[in-house]
Amino acid sequence: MIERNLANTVLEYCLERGADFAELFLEEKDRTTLHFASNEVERAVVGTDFGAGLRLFYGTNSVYTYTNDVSRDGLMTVARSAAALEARAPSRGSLRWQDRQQPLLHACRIDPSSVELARKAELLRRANEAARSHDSLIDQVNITYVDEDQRVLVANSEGTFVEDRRVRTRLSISAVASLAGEKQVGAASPGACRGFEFYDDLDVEAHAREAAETAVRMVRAAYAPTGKMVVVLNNAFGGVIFHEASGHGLEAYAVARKASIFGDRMGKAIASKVVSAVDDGTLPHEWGSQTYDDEGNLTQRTLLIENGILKSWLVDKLSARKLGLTETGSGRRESYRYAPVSRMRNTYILPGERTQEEMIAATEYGLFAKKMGGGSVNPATGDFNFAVQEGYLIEKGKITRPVRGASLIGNGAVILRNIDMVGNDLQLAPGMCGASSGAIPVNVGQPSIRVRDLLVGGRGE
Amino acid sequence: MTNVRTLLQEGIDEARRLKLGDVELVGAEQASLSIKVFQGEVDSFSFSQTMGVGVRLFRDGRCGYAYTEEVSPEALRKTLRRAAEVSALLPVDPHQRLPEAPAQPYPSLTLYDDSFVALDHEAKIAMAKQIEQAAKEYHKLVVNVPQASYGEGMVDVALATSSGLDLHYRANGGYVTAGVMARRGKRVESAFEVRYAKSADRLSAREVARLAAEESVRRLDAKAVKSGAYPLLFDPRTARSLLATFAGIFSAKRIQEGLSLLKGRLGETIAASGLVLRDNALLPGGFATRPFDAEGVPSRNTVLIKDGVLQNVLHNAYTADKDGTQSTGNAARPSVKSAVEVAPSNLYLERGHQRREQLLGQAAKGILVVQLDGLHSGANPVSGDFSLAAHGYYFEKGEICYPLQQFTIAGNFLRLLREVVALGDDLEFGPPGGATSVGSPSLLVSGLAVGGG
Repeated sequence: MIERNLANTVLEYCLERGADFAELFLEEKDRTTLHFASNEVERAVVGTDFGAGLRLFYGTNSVYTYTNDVSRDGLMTVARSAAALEARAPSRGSLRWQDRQQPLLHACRIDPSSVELARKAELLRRANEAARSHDSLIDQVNITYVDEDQRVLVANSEGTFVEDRRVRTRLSISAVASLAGEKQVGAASPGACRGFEFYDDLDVEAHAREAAETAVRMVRAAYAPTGKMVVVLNNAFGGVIFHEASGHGLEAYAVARKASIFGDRMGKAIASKVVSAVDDGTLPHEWGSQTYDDEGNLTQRTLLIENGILKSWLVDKLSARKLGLTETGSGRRESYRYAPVSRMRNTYILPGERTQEEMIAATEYGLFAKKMGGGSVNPATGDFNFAVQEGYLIEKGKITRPVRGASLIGNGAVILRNIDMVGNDLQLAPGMCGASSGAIPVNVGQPSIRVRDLLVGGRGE
Repeated sequence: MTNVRTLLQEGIDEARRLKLGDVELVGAEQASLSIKVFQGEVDSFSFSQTMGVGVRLFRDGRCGYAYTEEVSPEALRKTLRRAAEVSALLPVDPHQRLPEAPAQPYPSLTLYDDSFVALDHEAKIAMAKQIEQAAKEYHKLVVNVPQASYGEGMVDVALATSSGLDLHYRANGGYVTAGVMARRGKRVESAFEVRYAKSADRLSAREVARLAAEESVRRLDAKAVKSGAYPLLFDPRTARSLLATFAGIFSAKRIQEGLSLLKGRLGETIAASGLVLRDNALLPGGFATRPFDAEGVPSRNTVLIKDGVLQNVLHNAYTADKDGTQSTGNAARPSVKSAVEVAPSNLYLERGHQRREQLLGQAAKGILVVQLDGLHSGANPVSGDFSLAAHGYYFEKGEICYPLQQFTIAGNFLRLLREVVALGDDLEFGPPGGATSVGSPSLLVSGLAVGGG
């Protein structure tokens, strides 16, 4: 994307002006978005993101700047402005490139740019047809197809000069069921770090029917009850609870700002003994996987919690400096417009022994959260919330009826201790995670789990 | 860098030469600055200057989009061709065409304020430092200020069409934020405040710090609330965030797609009688005020709800053409990378007459809501249903009694509009997001389901 020579010139200039670390991030990203509504392709957008970010460290303080002008003049202009902010003596040592480039994992087989737009549109038609024909209550289907081909280069004053390519694609299906003036929505959003070959194996119709079925069940459902109860969370996207309740609090960025409830808990029990969890950026072709993070480190599998004991944070370069820790390949950003911070990749609770049937049978009264929506957390207090997209009431050990409109709230420190059963049915599911370095693709995941004393915020009896 | 307006004109000429169809080009030059302070030091300082061009192209009743951030005549030429290529995928739709040149003139507005450039870096850093310091000095229980920041943004928008429009405006604004943690024993609470302003002298570091510090300290005494139905008093911030979340129901596009509960309800009573909802892109000093929308239609002031009756919905040129009406000037593109949508500008509920104390006295008991979380997931704009995490205070007989631990509130937005009992005199607007800034006074609502305990 740029020559080593130019990167060298820019980075050395910054070191000479007193920065003790300098990093260039170059990005070029092609994206195609197709949106389908009212039985037709409703809009189609193609384009290219293109730019560079320059980051400098002075001890634990940082300067970040970005531009679309990646010419020698453009980069030197931002380097001069950035370096002028801090007047310091030159740093010691000069830059020597290290040979760190590894073969790229998660390579795509069918380059999305080689596939005709009409073939991509055909996926939308198939999903639309399957969702609409699933049930006569379905009266609108919205589908978005996205493919992205992101090429990045990270060059830094520690000698890193590596390139990565991440090809991702996702199909987001949303079906609306209408009954007696009410509307409910069901969704399914499969995605992967793959090329167009992702759709060779994907049962598009099954995902579309699943979205439609959620909408239909929910439009016929009564409102969820309110109050503290036992909740059985389904596998896959159910893992959003760990992402919110715990994952964000394990990001070193929050720890360095003394704004994590787990800040002083390293090596101590933060969860019940049945809970072990990892964050793994290396899983082949998963939505949150990539060969390198956005700071030029190889991603890795990081064991976060083992049998309830806190084992590791997710550590980016700057937090590593601030906290005296080792980087974990967790520095991520949406694009060159953001300085990287520690972020999750594919985060999930490891499987246990129980079956989902056992958990439900062992529950006198509670909620079965079959499909979850998104959520959010305040890492400083641990207060989190997330939405249930498709819920059922559990009475006397049996699922009795569907309920809608519930959200679940609680506190991360409390909830991890209240997980009393972990299932054997681990699955992952893709999502987008928003934080200070933008919106990035992550997988959440878990086997089915049972949690005591979650507050269900419904409005029924 | 190339001047964006010149580049757009070259693009229009190129599209003509290549006979690509009717073309609209949008250019955005942006600059930003953000200073974050932590423990007395500038923890991070960031700034940027970027440019991007978006193409919308109409060819035989088909519409295609493309964008580029590589700003050069060659890249633009390639982007034009890609837009033409993409358009072939779309169905022929007679309503897909360039908006007609406006009959009325464009308003002349001042949206750029020199006060931000007049301040040097040192003054801005001092402001961010003052936020952290003021928050810490506010109370001995304030233990940490994880967020203390100053920021500003500037955008230069240019729009050119093959039908001869050559428009341009420049706008800027700034903000300060404070995120404060208070601790007593093992108990930790936090609160966040942001203030946005169109001139630097209206940004108060002390105010934003005091508000966040005060709230975080108060929350240390929070008690659990008993589940049940309560009258709720939404403060301006929570009221406007609910309105922002459900603003899509007023979009003609959502209505045409069957994704809005307001389909076929023009002229019907949908809200309490005293309620007036407006979208005014011309509002003096408004954070989303601009002379024209994302497709060059002059800005307007549109009444959406008057005396509880739905009067109008928001249109862009396409949705208006489809409904046989006039655009309300609400075409929006969150960025040059997005397609033209419909979005509000300055969307707000008009203020009422009652002060906070009077509103509190209107219900025998109830809950004052000061923070809502999970709006992106726990609220469904299609059904109008919401179930959200909240923070607030229990009140009785006109007096605030004590703060509450996190609780849930659940209801339906359309029903809530009908159940508004009173409006405060404290209309406040939120920071702009995309093309929109939403405002509301305090809202007293008769009864919603609350979960706690």
